[in-house]
Amino acid sequence: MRAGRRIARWLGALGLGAALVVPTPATAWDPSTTHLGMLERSVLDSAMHLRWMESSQLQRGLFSPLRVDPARLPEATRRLLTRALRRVHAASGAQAMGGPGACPGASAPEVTRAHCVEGDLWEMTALGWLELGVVVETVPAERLLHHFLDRQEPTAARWTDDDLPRAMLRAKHAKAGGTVASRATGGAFEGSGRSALAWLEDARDPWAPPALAEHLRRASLAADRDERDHHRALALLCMGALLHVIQDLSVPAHARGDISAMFLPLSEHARDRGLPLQELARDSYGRAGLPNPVALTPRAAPEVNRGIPRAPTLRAHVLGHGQWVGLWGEAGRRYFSESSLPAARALDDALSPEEAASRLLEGAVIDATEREGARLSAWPAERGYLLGGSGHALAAFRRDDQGQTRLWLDRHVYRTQMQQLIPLGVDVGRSVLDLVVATWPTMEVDAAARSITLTPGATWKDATLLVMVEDTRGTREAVAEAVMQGEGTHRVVEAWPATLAEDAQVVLVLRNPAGVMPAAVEQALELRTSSGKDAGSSAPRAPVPKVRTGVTRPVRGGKVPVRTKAPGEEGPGEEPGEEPSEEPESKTPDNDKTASGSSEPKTPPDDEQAASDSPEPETPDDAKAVGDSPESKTPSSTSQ
Amino acid sequence: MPSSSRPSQLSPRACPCRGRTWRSALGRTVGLSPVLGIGLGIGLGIGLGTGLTLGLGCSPMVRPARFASARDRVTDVSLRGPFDGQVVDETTAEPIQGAVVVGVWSYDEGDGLSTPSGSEVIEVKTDQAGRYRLPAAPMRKRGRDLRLVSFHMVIYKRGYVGYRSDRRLDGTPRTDFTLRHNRVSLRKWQNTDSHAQHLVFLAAPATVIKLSSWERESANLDLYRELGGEVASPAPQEESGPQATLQLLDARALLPPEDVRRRTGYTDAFDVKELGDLARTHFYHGVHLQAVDRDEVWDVAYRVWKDPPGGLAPVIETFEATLPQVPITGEITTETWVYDTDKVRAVAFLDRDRTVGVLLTCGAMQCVDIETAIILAGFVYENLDQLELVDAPAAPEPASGRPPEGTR
Repeated sequence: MRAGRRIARWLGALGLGAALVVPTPATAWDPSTTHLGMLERSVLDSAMHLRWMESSQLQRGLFSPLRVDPARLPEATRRLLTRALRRVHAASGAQAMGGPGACPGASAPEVTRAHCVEGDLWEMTALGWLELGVVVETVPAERLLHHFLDRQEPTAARWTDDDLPRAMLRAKHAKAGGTVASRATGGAFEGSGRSALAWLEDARDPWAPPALAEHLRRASLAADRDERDHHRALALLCMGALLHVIQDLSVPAHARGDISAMFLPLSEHARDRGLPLQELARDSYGRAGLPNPVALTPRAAPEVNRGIPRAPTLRAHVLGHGQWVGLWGEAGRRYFSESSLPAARALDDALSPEEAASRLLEGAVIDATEREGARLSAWPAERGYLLGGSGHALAAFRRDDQGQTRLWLDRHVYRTQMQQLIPLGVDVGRSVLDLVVATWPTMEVDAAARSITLTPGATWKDATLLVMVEDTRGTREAVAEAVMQGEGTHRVVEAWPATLAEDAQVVLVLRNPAGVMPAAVEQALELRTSSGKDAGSSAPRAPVPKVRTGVTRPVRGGKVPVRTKAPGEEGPGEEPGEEPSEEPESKTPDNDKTASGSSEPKTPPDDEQAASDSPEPETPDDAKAVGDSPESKTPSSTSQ
Repeated sequence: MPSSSRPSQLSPRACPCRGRTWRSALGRTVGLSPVLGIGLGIGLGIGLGTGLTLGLGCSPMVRPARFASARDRVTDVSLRGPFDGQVVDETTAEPIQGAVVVGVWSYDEGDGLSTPSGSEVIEVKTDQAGRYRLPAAPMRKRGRDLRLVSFHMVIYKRGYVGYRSDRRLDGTPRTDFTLRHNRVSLRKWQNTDSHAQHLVFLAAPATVIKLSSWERESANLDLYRELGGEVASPAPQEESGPQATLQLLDARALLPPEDVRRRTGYTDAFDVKELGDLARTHFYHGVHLQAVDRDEVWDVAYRVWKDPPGGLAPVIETFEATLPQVPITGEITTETWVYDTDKVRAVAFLDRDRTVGVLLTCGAMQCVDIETAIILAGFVYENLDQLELVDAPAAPEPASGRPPEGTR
């Protein structure tokens, strides 16, 4: 029965291939066209640029150049990045200037110095690094294997596709450019692989979210400006990679762990295999012309919920949160992929279209909203469409010579999928960016009193506030820190030294505990002490909704212990993603939906320990954070 | 450009290794070995050699082109090219010389799990007639699973909206690109255009990245505005402190109309306007003294750069592009360019001490000789201390995310 089903699927696929006659194989959405178009759309719809500009006094945004120093990268990461830069399509917007060998010296011919930046540095705009992130997820090709969810158990750490024999899959892996080494290390495709959910927590991967979080922290906390820019660029690479993985999950084959669908014949050419949906998207839309809207300008904020993440964690973007059913629930349960179609059945002509559809969907893994109300567009009929409860075409059907009614995905079904799922992928990408690049929480600054009144909300309720002073050369030094104690209002007094060097700038950084996204956010203050109170209120305001913070819980008690610490003391000494200090915990989906919105393992930082152990400031010069209880609103005597 | 209705098949001509696989190559070799009494190892060796020859020596497969060969003509079309065409000004239909034309052939590789595999790039400039010619793809890349999947052409000329062969500035697909006799009409940059949209649209290759890098800062501000950020400083809010203000360079005081009249004897009125081709920023201001009810040969215009973020190098590039083959003289400062034609006179100079660049153009009827233009440029130089930054006018609350016209 199972073998017959497989044969039926492959016959259907072959028929599809002949029908489509579109060339070249590929994976999910095409990285060089559809993915980049989706990423552009997500970025423009998000509040990312707005937040960066506001936090930097309008000095830094998506088009600001950022440099990566190869010498700062671990060898393996540098190799990967170098390969990605060689492979990226030059007209995709992700081509970097500079790099090793780009500046051969003044005596070299001018043409060889055309792309020189400085030394061996690579330079690209922030948007360019984001776009390159889409490509680094394809280098090597085995990385594409962690873009799937298990078809049976979406929360599983590994996915399995047993439609094809392992030997055949090994051969496919080899043809896809897989190496013997990857087979030895388990990275090869043999019908199973690490799931996208496991990758989200992979501390060893140089582009995974744990590395992203670390780069974001260093992008704010590193003392040296060049080092901060280096990590900011790497954080953007990680974000691009994250969007690639997340947006791939808007493809039914990915959300259903159906890697067999990636190897379907697309034309008469022997080596012309791939995923028909992806090829049709590339063929139909290219990079431009994705389903509405196509303009390269931002849409109105309310239209796209700019600044408001769909879910509080990355994991919840995949599995769902509240009303949001997640990419898994949308792409993986409301649409069929090629190999997850129900088997052929013999249907009685006397059945109604609804009864016939119900028979066809018996045993199929499909959401109840689609199953209930499903019907055939006509029955009895030789061909037509299986329509889901929502009205969209789930599959095409035709009756074969043996009287069996077979389902398959044709161009019309694919178009329906593209028109629904590409905008979905765009919006989830937008949402992920709005989660990762968070907004600065509500704050008032009294420059004259050197005090800050901050309401961290749910997003930053466990964060550490670092007060940094940046000199004219861009060197930052932490002068104070305070640990937030809940969502309520905190008042931090004497937050920075009474006397600052000329043109020095105060930069506030909120850093969440390890494993919590968003990882860090910063806000530069423009302090004009001569203008008195409120002079420090820095960024221009924009009508952007803040991240939902939930119900505010007032903090009880007195002062928050504070202490100073140099930024270099935080975080692992090694490059993120290379040598993790500990393995991430395996999580169940239920664990994910915590009140704090954190899905990643939570390691209590030293600061928290300090908070419980030492109620008093350690040094007289430290900033003082005061809870919002009435009796503690004024700086206590311990502040001196 | 992409059209699903078109047949799309791999080009058999460009795929000499099509249909061959490692397995078949090795299988044939191993099959021969018992007959010839040669050991399996030798057979494998030959097989590997054959495979390597087949694999590494293979020309890439070539995907079908999504553009036409030429207008009103049916000829062979291929992603490989060659390509030719002409670049003209959309308004005047005049040829545009010196526009940078970049041809990018991009490859994918892999069977089933395919990935990008780099590009080949050729860059040329348009000639005096605005013509360009890109040769056929170099096709230096080799590999069994390599596919030439796309060709893109990007054209950049400062002062104009760029061009891509696959899409338009508004993001919609371009359908009028042709392999041969392609006609590219570049639209002059308008101050209502968005640098952010322009840079996203260009998705530029390295050569164009360098040329367009001056747009980055304006692009950041443009996108910020488009996203609803407030860049002006409205009335103070009671609940918050002062807000950041977008400041713009104001160069209107450098050459008031009366100074022009004083020199040229012109008695009629001027309208003082903005030069619309480049966006006004905190480091650039273009002022247009438009003679009312007169032809443009009576106009005077000047552009001023003050502390540009990229330094004066891009300003010099602009001078050199605008005033081709003009030697540097010491008429105003030690770095002065003087350009004289029948219709227009132009003077540009740099003041490195004040990090200022000025380009003044004067119609031949207003400036009857080049000396007049030099004197007007001298007035500008004398007034450089009057350059100032002013707050941008308040922008109304954006309703749709699009910036209101005239806010730049």
